[in-house]
Amino acid sequence: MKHWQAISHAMNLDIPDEQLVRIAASLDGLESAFAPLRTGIESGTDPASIFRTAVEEAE
Amino acid sequence: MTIAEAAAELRAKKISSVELTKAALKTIEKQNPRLNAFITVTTGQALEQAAASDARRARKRDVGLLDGIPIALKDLFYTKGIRTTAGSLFYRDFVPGFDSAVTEKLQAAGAVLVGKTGMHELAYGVTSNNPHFGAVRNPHDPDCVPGGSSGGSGAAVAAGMCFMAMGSDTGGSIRIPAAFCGTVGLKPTYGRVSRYGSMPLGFSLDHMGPLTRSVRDAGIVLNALAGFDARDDSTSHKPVADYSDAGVERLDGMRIGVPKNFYLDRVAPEMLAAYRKCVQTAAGLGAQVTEVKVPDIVALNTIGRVILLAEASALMEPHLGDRSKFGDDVLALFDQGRLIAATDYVQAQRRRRMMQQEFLALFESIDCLFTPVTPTAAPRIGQTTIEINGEAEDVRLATTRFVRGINVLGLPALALPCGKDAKGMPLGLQIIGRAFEEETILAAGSALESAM
Repeated sequence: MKHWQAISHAMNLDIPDEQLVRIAASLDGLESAFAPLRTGIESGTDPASIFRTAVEEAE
Repeated sequence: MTIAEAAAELRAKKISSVELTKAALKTIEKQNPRLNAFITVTTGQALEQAAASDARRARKRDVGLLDGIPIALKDLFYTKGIRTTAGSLFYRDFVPGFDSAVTEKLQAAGAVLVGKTGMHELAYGVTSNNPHFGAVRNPHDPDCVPGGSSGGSGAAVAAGMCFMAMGSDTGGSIRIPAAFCGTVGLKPTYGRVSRYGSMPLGFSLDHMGPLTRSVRDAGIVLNALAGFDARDDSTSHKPVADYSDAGVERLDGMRIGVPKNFYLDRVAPEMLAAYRKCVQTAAGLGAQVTEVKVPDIVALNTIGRVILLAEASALMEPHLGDRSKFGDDVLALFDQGRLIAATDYVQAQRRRRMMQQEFLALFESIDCLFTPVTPTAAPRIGQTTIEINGEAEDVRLATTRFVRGINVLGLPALALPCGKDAKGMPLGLQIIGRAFEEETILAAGSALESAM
């Protein structure tokens, strides 16, 4: 599991340590669920929200 | 009384808009101290708008079925000159200088705004137990939550304080209060209704839609709201249908999907029984019911959580140093979002596109999918876990389990009452359709509503 406290400190976030302890279980659960979804994405798959130019929008 | 019925009475001059509005305001005066559904009541403006509506009708110039109908807005839709709090201390005294697109369109349709409804702080939760403006209460049992985040809208419509109240839905926030309060709730397709001037929570997940007393009313409101808006990049140029068609009684030929997996795995027995009855009723109306295997909804919900945590925290980042102004539950979510890696957000958005393809394939064989809205009826205020078939589950995660993923897909979804539990608390059916095919889910809902 990720060391949320270390990440928070490294990012210089102002999240108190007791809050980091409180939210760690939820973040760990999400991390476990998301880990397998990071793999197997084909390189040609764009994110679902992408920039569109003004010209295209006007069409 | 529904919007359609009230509109008929207005047109027949059996009642005036001023009378309807005074009745709504009286109900608010009586019920709001008990339910806390409204943050702001706009009595003076409402009576002026109602009088103007009556004047239009006298000149035979009414502007449609919503003309003269008392409605409310969740307190995150900008209203020029009327404070818009988003249920947050940051916006407690915020008075917008312009109207949201939704506000504009409802005003153009002649609707009478009676007030702004209470909500979960910043629309980021499912209970509407707001630490700054007080808990909104469920009209069916004031000790229970009305759902959220559009809890005030659900409570207001269910208690007869207005005919329709607008909600927003980022992970179930229209459908959950509709189910818990026993109203209809419509989350249109992403891009069908403009988000301009509504306080965002998750840019790529936010949907705007009505909570009403009937399916037809939801269609009437969507008629007024739907369409392209140059001020919202995500809105679509796709043609807008007439959603207000009434009188759908048969579902001959409609292909309804019943999930084999996930949606019925962990559900309270009363909810399951109510759901089965809906499916049976639909089959009796001529629908072709097919069991289908749905794609991985756990993955879909996970993707939704990663996207929402990141988007919401990015949005509120300028305020996150002022920690004392947030409620504990909401601050915990914002803090989690700050720890989501940028790469994870991007991968979630890429996975989202892959899931979209899987659902497109599913909807080749069906026209709509029936699921429960939530696994149980409304929990009590302050309750943190729900027990389902002997297993305890976090209230927020349990309540959003069947609805969150549909925001990731952007598909239209309708919530409608489908029964009550042993305590008399409402239960809701969710009907999910193909993108930009709201008329299909409204037709299915309308036929079921008439038959049940």
